[in-house]
Amino acid sequence: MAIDYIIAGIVGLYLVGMLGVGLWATRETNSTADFLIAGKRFGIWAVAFSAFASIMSGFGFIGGPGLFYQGGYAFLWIAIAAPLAFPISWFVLGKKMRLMAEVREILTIPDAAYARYNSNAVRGLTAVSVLLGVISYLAVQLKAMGFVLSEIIGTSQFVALLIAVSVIAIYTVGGGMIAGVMTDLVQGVIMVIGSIVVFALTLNYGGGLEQMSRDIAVNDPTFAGAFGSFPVMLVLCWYFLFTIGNSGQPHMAHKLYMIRDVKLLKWGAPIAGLSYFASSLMMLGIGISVRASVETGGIAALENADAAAPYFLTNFTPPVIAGIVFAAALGAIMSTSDAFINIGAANMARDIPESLGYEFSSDSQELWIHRIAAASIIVGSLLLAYYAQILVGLLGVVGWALFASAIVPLLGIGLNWDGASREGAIAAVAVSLVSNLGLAVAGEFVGFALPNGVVIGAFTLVVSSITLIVVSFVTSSSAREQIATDIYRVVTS
Amino acid sequence: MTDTTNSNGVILAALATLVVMLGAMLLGGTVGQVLFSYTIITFFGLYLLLGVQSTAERYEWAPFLTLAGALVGILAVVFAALWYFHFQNPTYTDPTYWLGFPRATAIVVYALWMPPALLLMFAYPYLFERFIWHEDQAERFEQMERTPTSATTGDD
Repeated sequence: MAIDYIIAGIVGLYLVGMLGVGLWATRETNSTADFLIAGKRFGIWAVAFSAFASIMSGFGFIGGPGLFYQGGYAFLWIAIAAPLAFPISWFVLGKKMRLMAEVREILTIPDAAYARYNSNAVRGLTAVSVLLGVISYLAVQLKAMGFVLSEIIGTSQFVALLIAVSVIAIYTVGGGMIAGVMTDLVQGVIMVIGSIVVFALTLNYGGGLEQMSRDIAVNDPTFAGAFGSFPVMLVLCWYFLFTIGNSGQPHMAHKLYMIRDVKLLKWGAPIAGLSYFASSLMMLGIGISVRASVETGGIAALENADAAAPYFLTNFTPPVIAGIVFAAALGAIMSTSDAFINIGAANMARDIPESLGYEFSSDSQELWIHRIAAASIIVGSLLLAYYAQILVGLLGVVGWALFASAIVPLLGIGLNWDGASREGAIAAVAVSLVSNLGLAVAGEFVGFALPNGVVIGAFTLVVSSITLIVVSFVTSSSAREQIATDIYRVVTS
Repeated sequence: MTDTTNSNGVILAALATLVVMLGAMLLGGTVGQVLFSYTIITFFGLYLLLGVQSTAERYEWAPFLTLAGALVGILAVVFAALWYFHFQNPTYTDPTYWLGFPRATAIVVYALWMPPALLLMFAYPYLFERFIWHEDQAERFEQMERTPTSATTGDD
């Protein structure tokens, strides 16, 4: 597409602004706790916006309109999950996660798993699950970032990606989670405002909701149906996986450590849930209006469904608004990426070495190792994105599920049920890893699929949760004695 | 105030629900789809109760049972309406439109998207100071000794 200098200028300003936040945050980051959980310094607006912005991601802002374009209203079921999922996560994990960080120096999700089950095996397996999920998600986010920026500045995707990654690397490697949460806050605000404005434009362009619904159904009436053109069971699986799985996403759960005071949790659920609702209106509007235009012959079919959002923004939106929304899309991707970079760095520099018995000699040494790990994660994911696409594709299929089916049983259930045993936790994470990866490999290489359109992630979430509960009952004689006194108080609080 | 031990009632109900859910997934067809949807909403209610059971055991169950019951009740009615309209016209040929969408889709957009979410979103702050983070608990945690590190070795 031709470069629009207004759009490019707004996006350029946005990137410079993110760099400024990063430089400020680098000066504020003086310890590992600052780097990983922002020194527990933030209020509820920053934490709730950061939680929603991280969950929204490039999948929501770019993939979301693409899926609406591809399958009609089926994607509604992912969009509707989040506003319900945030309060459920708050009820199930909000207080517990924050109290874990209160009673111990807990900085990561595997730290919490270790503290709950007093087991390096649980910590190590959790770290591996999280790391695999992080790598796959991050590689996909980086590719999405290259795609969006190349549409704006008219370079190749690789050059665009290098520019975006340079910005994100500067603010993340230096400023860790302080930079991550502050940029998420800015990015979240832009996403909400941009989404509402663009939704109004899409309604105007498409002639209103009923006209758009009628137009997308011209050739295939199921497009306007409650389940779109996708199998009903698949769509229901999304609803289950994305609602319950929200509390198993490390980039969401991890944010709960960062709040300044437990009592500030109070308004987090409505802030995160309503913000997500507002920001998901854009994907609905763009996906359906562009599809409606294609179905009625107004425009030619897009070669790539993910191009729906850039196509609408560049062709049917005033340049100033398009620039702001492109900045929001980049923001969605960058906010998820910075969370994954920090979480992955913590996995490499802290969780896996500590589960193997290695200790750092000083906090300053640990901080620098985290910075190096953050840089390594970025480089590694870049290489994976371009040179190991099969691996990225495989892990991408189960990215959300790798997190959900490991962390929901371990922490969502385990932090609320004192009968969950160490053996149950080990079995649940092992089942999650083996079944997610095994089913993804079987799908890729021998064409295996679960019956009735069942989604791998929903299936593995159910199976790993059953495993935790059943194995815990079988080994329950010592479950309560395995929990340290301070952690027991958190579990029963 | 002493520590309590979690009872196993909620977790056993959650286990039973998950087992039925797995069966529904593998069964498929109309019965499997409807059964799966109702096990999903039952699990939402039970997961919520699991998250608050220590608080409920410490203070009282009534507000949390009411909340979970309201959530499951709303979702049960909404899904009943969704399935009714969906199976009346599963191909969506010449559908009746409500507020811009075919009726079953309108149920998803207007009834399934925000009403249950709004209930929980605002129940959390409403219950927060009275139950979830009561001043008794805040005091108890303030008085607790802190463990300086997350410990460096496990038992296994």
